[in-house]
Amino acid sequence: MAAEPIILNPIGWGQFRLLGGWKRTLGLAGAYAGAAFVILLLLYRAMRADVTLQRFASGALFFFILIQTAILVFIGTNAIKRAIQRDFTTDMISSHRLSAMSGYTAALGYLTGPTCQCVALSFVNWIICTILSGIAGLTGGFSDLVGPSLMFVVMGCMAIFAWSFQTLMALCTRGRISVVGAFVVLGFLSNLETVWTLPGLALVIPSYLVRTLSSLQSSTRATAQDIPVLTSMFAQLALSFTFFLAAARKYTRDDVAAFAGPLGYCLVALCALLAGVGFSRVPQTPSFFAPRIFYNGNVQIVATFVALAMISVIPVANATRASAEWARRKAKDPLFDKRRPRSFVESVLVTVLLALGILFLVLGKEWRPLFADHDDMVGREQVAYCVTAFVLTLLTLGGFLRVAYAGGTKIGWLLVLYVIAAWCLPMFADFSLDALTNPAAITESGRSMLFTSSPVGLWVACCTELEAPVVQGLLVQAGITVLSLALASRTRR
Amino acid sequence: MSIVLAAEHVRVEYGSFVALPDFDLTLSAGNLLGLIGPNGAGKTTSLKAIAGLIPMAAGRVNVLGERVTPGNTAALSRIGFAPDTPPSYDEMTVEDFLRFIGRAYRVGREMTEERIDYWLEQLWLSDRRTSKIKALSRGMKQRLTVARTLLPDPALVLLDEPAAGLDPAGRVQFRKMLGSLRDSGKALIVSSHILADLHEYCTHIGIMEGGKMRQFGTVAQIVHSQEENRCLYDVTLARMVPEAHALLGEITGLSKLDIQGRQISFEFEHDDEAAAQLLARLLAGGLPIARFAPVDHDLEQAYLRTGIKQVD
Ligand SMILES: Nc1ncnc2c1ncn2[C@@H]1O[C@H](COP(=O)(O)OP(=O)(O)OP(=O)(O)O)[C@@H](O)[C@H]1O
Ligand SMILES: [Mg+2]
Repeated sequence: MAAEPIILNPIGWGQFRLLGGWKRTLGLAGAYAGAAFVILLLLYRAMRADVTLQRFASGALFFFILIQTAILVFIGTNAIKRAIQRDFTTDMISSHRLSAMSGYTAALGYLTGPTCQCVALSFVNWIICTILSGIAGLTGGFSDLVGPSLMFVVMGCMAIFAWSFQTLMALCTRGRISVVGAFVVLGFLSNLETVWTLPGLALVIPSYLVRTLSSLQSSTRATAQDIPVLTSMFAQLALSFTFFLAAARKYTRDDVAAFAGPLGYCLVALCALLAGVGFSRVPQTPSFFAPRIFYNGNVQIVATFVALAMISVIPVANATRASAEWARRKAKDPLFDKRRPRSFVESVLVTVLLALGILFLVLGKEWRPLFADHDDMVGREQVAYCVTAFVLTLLTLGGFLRVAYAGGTKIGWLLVLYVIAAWCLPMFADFSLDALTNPAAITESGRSMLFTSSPVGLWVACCTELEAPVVQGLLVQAGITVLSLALASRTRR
Repeated sequence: MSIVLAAEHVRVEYGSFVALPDFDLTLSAGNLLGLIGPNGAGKTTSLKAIAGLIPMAAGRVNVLGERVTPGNTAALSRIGFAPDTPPSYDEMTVEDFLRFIGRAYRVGREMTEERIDYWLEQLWLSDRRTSKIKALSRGMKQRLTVARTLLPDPALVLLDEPAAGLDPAGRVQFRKMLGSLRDSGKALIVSSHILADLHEYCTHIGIMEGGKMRQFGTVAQIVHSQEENRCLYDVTLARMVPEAHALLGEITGLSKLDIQGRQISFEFEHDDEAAAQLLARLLAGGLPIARFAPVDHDLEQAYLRTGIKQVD
């Protein structure tokens, strides 16, 4: 990795010039500072009769922190997306790829160049907020957190997370996809606290930011323990670094897999770590928006399984793709002498070992209460069934992907189709059948084998109090897996 | 001579369409290959594959012994590629853009400025130094792309239809520049539809069709490839003569006769003695000959002789 200073980064410098250079950046920052000062002054004069200066300052502080979030998340990610999109539409990306820049340099350039004006505005905001919090008299104890400097560090981590994710997504989609939408939805969810259903995700989305802000406004103060700031910052930075490495790889050419090889496993391991840590580090206090069900450990562990399974698709898909490409190349290329890559079955096993191994390792003794008591199963059995379903669904998917890759099909739609057909449809069908045949008993009666033939249904049946035939469901799943593996093994290409 | 480019068994597929089935090419320092062929022949595709910009289904490309693969900057940064649609940042000025390129290739600040001066001078862009790129004309943009390509001093230069937008004087200048680049020991590939002057600066010619290299060799080999001692003759009559066809048709050894009003063309032995006898015979036959010229070294003829249809 080239240890170039950021200002010497070619793409960073180029984007900075394209945004108008120092003149424009300093002009913008100056104009913003001036406008903010004038508006604050006018507002205070208008409201002087009703509020104290202190109250006014703390209100304004809240407002500026919102603006700051918007600048970082909306303007910053959008600037990165536009910069990458321009490089693809003008084909400057080919020019970059032929240059002496490494992928790391380029990815760093996309992170730092287009966002330079955001950084300048953030600096102005930081000064404004420091002054405001001085006036508001926020010092000491927990309010240190809302003291501007730490708040800006926290927001900086969030920005790095959003920006590196955007860089990766834009490089993967030729600049077409913006992650702002995802952040808005997640921000909204975290405001509603529904995001706590997935404790690992709650760690990454700093919903504590919202809590902190509201505690600034009201007199109710959260306890510092409620707010896993450091853990959350670590989670964001670690994920950002993974995204950065993936972006650096994806940059080199469109057909290169971003998370090929060890990086995919690292992503899974990291996500499993965060998922496990999330259980002990996020608050478990229900609220109006997030009723008890979102804080129910049984529901949370199901959501965690689903999320981890989805992330595990990445290394499995990469392994199947590598083996399909190897076979295709071997058939056509007389000079090809690479070793046959490991079978995707092995990658499924490694992935599961990482995902669930790390999850349960982190959970430690805490795993027991996450699985509801059942009459016919002991705790360990429940875990074993869940793990088996996890392995089976990845194996099935791997087999189908292997066939799809051999045919040169795009796999995006296949993944969606699989999730709908194998995960959602059986559960939905089971409910519908029940509703049609026996509407009265729908809430009391247990679910049927159809329900547990979906891995999600099986996890629900194992982890919550719901009764359903688990072993039969697993047998159905195993049948589908055998079918998929048979198809894959017949694929010679 | 050291080998700069070695491409072996390169195969490129676009989905199920095979654009290049099996492409081989070796170039040494000082070689300048003119790549010609109809639209869709695969010229751009082969240049892009050599530059490592598109995935190959098979084969390998080495530049100066380094394998061209995604991210291998040791090989990639030695390749200068000027695509037919020049990429640039429209909002940047010419000099800023070239400075950006200098940074991207780690050329060093002073060296960059020196080379910017040199190449802008060479490509007649010095007075446009501080213009925004969007304000340049098509030909100027093309020259800027050539400047961008040559600024990092690549060992292998790939130019995709570089002359298409150049004015006549620019073309002459450009030819000289290609000649001096060739002599300075770079390996170059120039794809072009303008065949007229290719033989002046190319050392090799490759004729492509349908993704395959139909002919490849030195200029002399290509021009005389098929029938060693024959060449094309252009004859202009002072006025139309109806019996010209019959008269010419009788002459043995004359082929591919084509009469368009006063313009006549045919193939005949490439030999001064034979030409003199032929001319005497035509004059004796009463043809009012205003111009009589054997066409030497005609790449266009060599190209048309291959029987490649112009548009697929
Ligand atoms: N991105 C693409 N997707 C599908 N087919 C393509 C693509 N690019 C090129 N082709 C096809 O590959 C073949 C070779 O194209 P290529 O651009 O290399 O031709 P060319 O020799 O450069 O033609 P021209 O003289 O018009 O520039 C053509 O049949 C073209 O239709
Ligand atoms: Mg072309």
